[in-house]
Amino acid sequence: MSHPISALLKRSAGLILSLLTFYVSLLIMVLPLEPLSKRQLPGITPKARLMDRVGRWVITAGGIGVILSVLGIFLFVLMESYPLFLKPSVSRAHTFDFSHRQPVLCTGVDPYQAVMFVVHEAGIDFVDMTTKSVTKSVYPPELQERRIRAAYRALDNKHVGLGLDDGTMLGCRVNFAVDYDAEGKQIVTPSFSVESSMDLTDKALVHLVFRHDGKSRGTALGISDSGQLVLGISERPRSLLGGGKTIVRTYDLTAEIKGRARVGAVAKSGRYVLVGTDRGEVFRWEIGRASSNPRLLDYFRVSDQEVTALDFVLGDVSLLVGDVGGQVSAWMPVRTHEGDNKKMFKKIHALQSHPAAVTALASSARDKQFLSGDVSGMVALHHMTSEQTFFQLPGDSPIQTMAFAPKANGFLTVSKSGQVMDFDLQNPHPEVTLQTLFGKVWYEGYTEPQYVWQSTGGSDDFEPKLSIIPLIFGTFKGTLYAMLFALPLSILAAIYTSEFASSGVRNLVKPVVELMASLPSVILGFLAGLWLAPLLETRIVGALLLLPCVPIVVVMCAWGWGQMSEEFARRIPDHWILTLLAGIALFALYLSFALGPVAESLLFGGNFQSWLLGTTGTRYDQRNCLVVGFAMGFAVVPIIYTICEDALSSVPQHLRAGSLALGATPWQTAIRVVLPTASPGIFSATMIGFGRAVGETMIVLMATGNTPILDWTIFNGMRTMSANIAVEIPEAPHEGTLYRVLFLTGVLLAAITFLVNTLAEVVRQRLREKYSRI
Amino acid sequence: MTRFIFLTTCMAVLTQATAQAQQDSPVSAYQKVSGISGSANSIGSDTMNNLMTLWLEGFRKYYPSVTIQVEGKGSSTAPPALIEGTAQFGPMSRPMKASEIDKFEKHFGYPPTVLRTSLDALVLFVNKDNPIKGLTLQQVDAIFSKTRRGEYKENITRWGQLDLGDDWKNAAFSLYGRNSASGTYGFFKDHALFKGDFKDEVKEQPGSASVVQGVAEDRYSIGYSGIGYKTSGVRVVPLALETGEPFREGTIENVIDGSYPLGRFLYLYINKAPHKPLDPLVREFCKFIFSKEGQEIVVKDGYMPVPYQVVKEELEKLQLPIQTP
Repeated sequence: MSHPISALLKRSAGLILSLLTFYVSLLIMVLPLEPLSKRQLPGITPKARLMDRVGRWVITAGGIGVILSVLGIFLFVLMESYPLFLKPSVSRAHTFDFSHRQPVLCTGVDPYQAVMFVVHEAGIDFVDMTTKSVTKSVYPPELQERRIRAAYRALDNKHVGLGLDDGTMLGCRVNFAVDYDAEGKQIVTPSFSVESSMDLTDKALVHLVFRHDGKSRGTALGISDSGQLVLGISERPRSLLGGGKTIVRTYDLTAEIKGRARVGAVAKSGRYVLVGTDRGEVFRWEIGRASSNPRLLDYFRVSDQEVTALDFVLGDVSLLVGDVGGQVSAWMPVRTHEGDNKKMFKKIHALQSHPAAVTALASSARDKQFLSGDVSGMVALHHMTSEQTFFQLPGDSPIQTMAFAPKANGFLTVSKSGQVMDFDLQNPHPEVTLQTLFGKVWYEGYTEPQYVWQSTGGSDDFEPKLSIIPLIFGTFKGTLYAMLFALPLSILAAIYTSEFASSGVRNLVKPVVELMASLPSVILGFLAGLWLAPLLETRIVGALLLLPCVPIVVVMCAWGWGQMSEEFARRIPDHWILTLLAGIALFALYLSFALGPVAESLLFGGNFQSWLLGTTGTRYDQRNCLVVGFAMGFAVVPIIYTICEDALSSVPQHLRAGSLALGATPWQTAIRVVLPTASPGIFSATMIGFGRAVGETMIVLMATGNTPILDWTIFNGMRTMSANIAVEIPEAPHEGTLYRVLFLTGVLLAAITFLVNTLAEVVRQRLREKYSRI
Repeated sequence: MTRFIFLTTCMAVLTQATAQAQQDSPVSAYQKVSGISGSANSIGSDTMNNLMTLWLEGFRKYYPSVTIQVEGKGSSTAPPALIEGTAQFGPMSRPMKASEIDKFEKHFGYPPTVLRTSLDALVLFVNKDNPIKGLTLQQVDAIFSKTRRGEYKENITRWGQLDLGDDWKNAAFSLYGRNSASGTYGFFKDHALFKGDFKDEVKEQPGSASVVQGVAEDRYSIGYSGIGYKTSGVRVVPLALETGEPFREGTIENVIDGSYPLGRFLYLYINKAPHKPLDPLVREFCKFIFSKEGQEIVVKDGYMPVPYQVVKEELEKLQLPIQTP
């Protein structure tokens, strides 16, 4: 049982730290502070002096404690995200000498890296990786007298194709059965079987690609020693019960290409077949649904020189190309324009090139990493999306073939001289660089480089999109709309209650507004998302009409009030005026919502949403910034209002009296005298409100659709950094890339708040100095 | 009108009959054993949240002293919980990814055990006022995805593009989906979007219930979730695999024969060490799921029971006796 507890402890380190901060601050608050101020007085008792000393010590310790805890939390969050930028570790575990089996045609290893297989001319050797010895040699009887000239290991680590010297392709299966001994250690038992056979040509096959879709279709692409390009497809009719006869079709594609075929690549589904030629072009065929013939789709130039290596990255969308000049690049089909389906292959990523001709490429079965090897024996590890090249390991003999370990925690390289090298690899976060986090990246299937946040897919071949830009944008967008709503409202309300309202009104309004702050943000979010949003959607024009309607009605009523006799006005008590004003505002509210449908049919053809989409192209989203601005503004108003009110009220009374005595009206006094004097307080109120809005989580989580878009429009939503952490942290595996990136956004959030607060403090100090002379 | 009523009644009876037929499979009733008590946690799929709770209720009729807490925030929360030992059951609406299994294996030295507990049809919901007849998978992709790997001819942003009435001509789609922790999100991405990416405008909801609620209240909306969350405020859209093929409802027959394109298993992952007996509570709960009562609960929650063949295979995986009544 110790394990879950230790895991819990590890996870709650941050919680413990913040609790510590809390208690320390509590301690400071309950401390008697009087002794400090009185310590200079003569005739002080020893007891009081002791209290004084203890008090000073505790307060100092508490202050340092607070700073340390805050630093501790920050450090903890930073430590969690720091490993994102660590370099991978790679080390050579062992070199196996297979020079007697030369040439080694293909290799692979089981998921636990316990047993390796090596395909040579006469068969397959299995090697125990711990004892470093050959444990089993298989000479398939199906070979008869023939020799193996080419071999291919599919990315699923199960299907192996053997190309023979008489033009036959044998589709084989390597299986690693796993069992466990009494201590729970794995025992891996390898086996090898020939499953199918295709007569591709009558010449020896020198290059072979064989993929099986795991269900019904196997596709083999071969190049013979005379340069013949052949394709074989074996298909079994799909049915639940298995059965059905396998049908094999073969095609000679030599005449369809220009130049001589050098290398090929086949998608796992067998739908696309690609061939690279000695003229630097790649030809692409499509084989549609069951029993259709290959159709040449297009061809495109990938290099000025001969193509020497070709492979798909995991997912079978992006194509890796290596040429005789050592260039390594990734190509993707890109829609030529958004409207149609025509796709062209484009060079999207260029990786660090090799000094000599690229001879082999190998993709990882877990992510978008791949290896490239060249004729000088150099091996390099790249990541496609982030365009990183992690290392280039020099070697001495040309690389023949390579293979990633199935879990991408190691790889094997095979040299022409028959040396099989086994490497250990630790590269947990290959997809993260500053460029992928903050820059535009061209992802698979996109028409251009973009900032995208889409962290998770349903399978491992998903390309994670971890741009933080849409989240930062969303945070500021939400804050902006909340401040737009809250700032004028709360500052004007504060001016009203402190300068114009009677004390009775003030004593009523202030506690009520402060009571608003006690509403949990979950409730606000819930109300905004499930009640306000659908309501606003149907009455959006009415809501927009509020903006002109309320001021106009109020100003008109004020004018009417001015027309009345002074006698009459004086007889009406203050709180009556307030009630009257509320009545007028309510009337304006009613008026604008009543006028809404009329205006909608007159101005917007009966449907505002359609009109908006039609004329401006803006989509109206039910959970939009209007809703968020309102809900979050509601949460921020009490904070800004209270601090503003206090700042305004604490402006010395003699300033007001002086101003009024000199003949200024109450309005002039409020705007020209009181407001500037209280400006440091108002400014900090604004900044505290801003900080609250930036960090607010529940309201944005519930009241927006959490859509990570880059669009300032008020009529759609956003995804903020804090909401994003709340949404995605439960699914993020501990110490995984997403987990660390989420912590990184936490660091950013803290940095933004820190920056804003520091800036605010500096400005506040300046303002305070300026007005302290008054 | 009477004919219509007659037809509906007929269909209802028919559906009942097929459900009955499924129930008549030789799955045996649960048999109580003695000495089962204690507590356990289940963390994972939101789609299976109600299902897990109902199973638990049924299970507790036999063992009142057993407590199992059920938490359903999304399938992706199951693997971390199983790895850290905070849960004994990890319900998931998609199979575990290889990388998730890697992490589990790194910790325990063996892979987790997967059980196929029931069948679900992932369905698309529209507002109940929506007159749409059906959608092809390519259209679904063009509605939800910005990468459009299904190769539909255009990006679909307005209902008018699907030939609905005048009322719908200029109405923009309002898209509801699940958060990325959800297995339904992953499954939909792999199968309906052809492994493409969601549009940024898809509103990510924390649970299936909020998706359905959002769709019920938003006239021009469309959303997806497991069929168990269907309410009266929404309509299920029949789907076709390709243009020209008939639209299919997510019924059990269509899911089993594969003609409904978004049928899937609902899984339960457990941590079973090889050659070691299971914890009695976990063992009995699994037995209960694959009993007659357990599979009846599946139907009650709106999902579909697994065929007898699957029950047999799963019980064999757990080295449990297969009983026939």
